Amino acid sequence: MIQTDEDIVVKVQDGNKEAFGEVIDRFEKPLYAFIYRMLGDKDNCSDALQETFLKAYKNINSFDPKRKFSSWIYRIAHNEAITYFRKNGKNVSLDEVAEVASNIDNEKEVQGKLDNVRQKDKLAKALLTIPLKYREVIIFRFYEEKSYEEISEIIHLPVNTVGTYLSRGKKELKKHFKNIDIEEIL
Amino acid sequence: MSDLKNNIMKSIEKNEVKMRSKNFFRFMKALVEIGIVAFALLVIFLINLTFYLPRKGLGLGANRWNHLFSVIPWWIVGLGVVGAGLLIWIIYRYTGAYKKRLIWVIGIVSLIIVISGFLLSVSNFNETMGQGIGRMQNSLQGTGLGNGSGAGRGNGLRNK
Repeated sequence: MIQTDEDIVVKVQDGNKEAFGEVIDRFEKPLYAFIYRMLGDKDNCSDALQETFLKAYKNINSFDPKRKFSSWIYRIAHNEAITYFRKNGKNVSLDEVAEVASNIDNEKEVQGKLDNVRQKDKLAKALLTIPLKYREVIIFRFYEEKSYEEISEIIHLPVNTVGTYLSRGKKELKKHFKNIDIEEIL
Repeated sequence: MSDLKNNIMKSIEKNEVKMRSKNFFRFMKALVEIGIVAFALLVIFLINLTFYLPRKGLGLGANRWNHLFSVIPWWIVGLGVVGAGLLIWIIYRYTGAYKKRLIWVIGIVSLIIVISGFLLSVSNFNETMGQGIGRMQNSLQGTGLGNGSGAGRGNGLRNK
């Protein structure tokens, strides 16, 4: 029987420390990808990711298993990414971002979305030029494939505002992709 | 096992990172709830005074508006506004209120506070409280616990 994230978290809450290893296995890659897209810096990304898991473990008893664990842990990652961004916001290596962004996309994301690597690289670079609040919503919606409600729960903003940020973010990105439908690349 | 997982699991095994207990979070939640209620009551009380005190002083001057401005306790108004701001921040930060637009939260909380404050000001609350404070001062004077100052001093001595 497949265990849900919430089932595993209940085990951790009951004192099974090893079960937290399963949480790391499940969320390490997606959270790394998310934080990396937010920060565009490898070192900060690894630190922020480690901090995310440590905080998640420390505060795991505040999680209500009736809710969605992924939203909860993404919320912590969001806070960590913002903290690191505020500290090191200007230290962005665009070439490195493009390179890693190409690697972290899984097949599912690639299929039907990104036809050529050049556009993807350009998008990764363009993402880092738009304001963090718009960038984050675009990452959640198009890379992490979260619903508006989930995004709202993670970043603690109303659903309407999520929609507004998404549309403004796309508008910002369009400036980098003249004559190309941005939705196709995303 | 990845390096990251290795590091984290080692920290956990060595108890370098400890899980906070459920009771800790229950306590924190209760603290926030009590804080919200206490803050709300304080702000409502202050708003009540901003309605009540000018009304008590009205009708004395020839120019009603000038007089109104002169009797409004501005420091209480300021304190009430700051308190209301903090209350809204706590509600927005620690409850599910973020799902609503901030402007709605500000509007609804402000409306509830102002209406509650006004209703409190037209009730007997302030008179009753004033009498209660007077009685308390008198009884403190009577038992010798009072500091000998304040409105109740004379009454207390006369009562003896």
